[in-house]
Amino acid sequence: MSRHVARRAFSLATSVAPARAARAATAPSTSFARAVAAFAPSSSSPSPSPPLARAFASGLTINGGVTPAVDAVPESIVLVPREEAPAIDAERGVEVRPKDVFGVVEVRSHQFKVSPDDLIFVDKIKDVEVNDVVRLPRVLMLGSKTRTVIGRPTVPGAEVLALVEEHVRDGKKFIFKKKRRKNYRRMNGYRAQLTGLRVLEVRGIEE
Amino acid sequence: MAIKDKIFKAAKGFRGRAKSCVKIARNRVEKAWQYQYRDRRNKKRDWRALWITRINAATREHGVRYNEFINSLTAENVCVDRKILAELAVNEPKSFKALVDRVRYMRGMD
Repeated sequence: MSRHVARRAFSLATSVAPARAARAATAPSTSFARAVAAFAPSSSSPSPSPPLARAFASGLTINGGVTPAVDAVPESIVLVPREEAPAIDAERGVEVRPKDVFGVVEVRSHQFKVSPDDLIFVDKIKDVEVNDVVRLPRVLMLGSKTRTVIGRPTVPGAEVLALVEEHVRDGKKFIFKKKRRKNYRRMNGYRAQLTGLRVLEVRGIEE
Repeated sequence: MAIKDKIFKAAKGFRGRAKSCVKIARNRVEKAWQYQYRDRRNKKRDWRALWITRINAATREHGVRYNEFINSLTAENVCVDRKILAELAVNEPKSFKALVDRVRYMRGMD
């Protein structure tokens, strides 16, 4: 597992602020807005009726509930309209969605530059279950296509919402110590406990 | 799995008899594990040196040196670390320029 992107974690999220319901009511175009709309307690507007397209290979869906991993991807894929279709990077052969917003978030002394849809691995977060939404409050910098917000050290009021995707153990690392000619040899293995966080939204800057 | 098989599994890709003869393979595999232990610590230093090199190159494009850049960032209480700064320099040049412009302003270069 590539650790270069990863690591460290955060506080439990309370319910999303009611102000988001207004945003949910205005037909959001990106799938992320749809994902956030699902979490917003929309008292005035009806809950979004079409099921959300986002499903991950681990079998999770954004609007709650766990589907069997076998069924998750095929049934939950919805054809994205052509104007939203992500660009295909021919060289790499993977879909590259243009990222409109990024935030630099600090999680337990490790910093990540995240955009919506990114997966980061942090040290295990306690008391958090899969499918919970987590708020990462320490945002050091925000950027969009037209502006950059530099925090000193943090941007007040900015936060990053992330979905807990999995609790997983890292690959095994061997701790091997040897002193030659002294009959001393020790071997230990170690697997770190990690939490995979899928970034849903970067708040504090408009796109 | 027998210990011998574990050794050979860890010795895949080694040169010469180190991948096929138990005595030689075990020595090289133990050395490899020792290097991994040492290099997990070195890796952190290597990455930091690379980030510093990249930040230095990127700031000099805008007429600021690395030491001046970092000095001003710490004076401004900007806590973005070198890993992120290097990534911004590569992938978010405009945001990086925003930081450099701020540094230039605070140092009176503009």
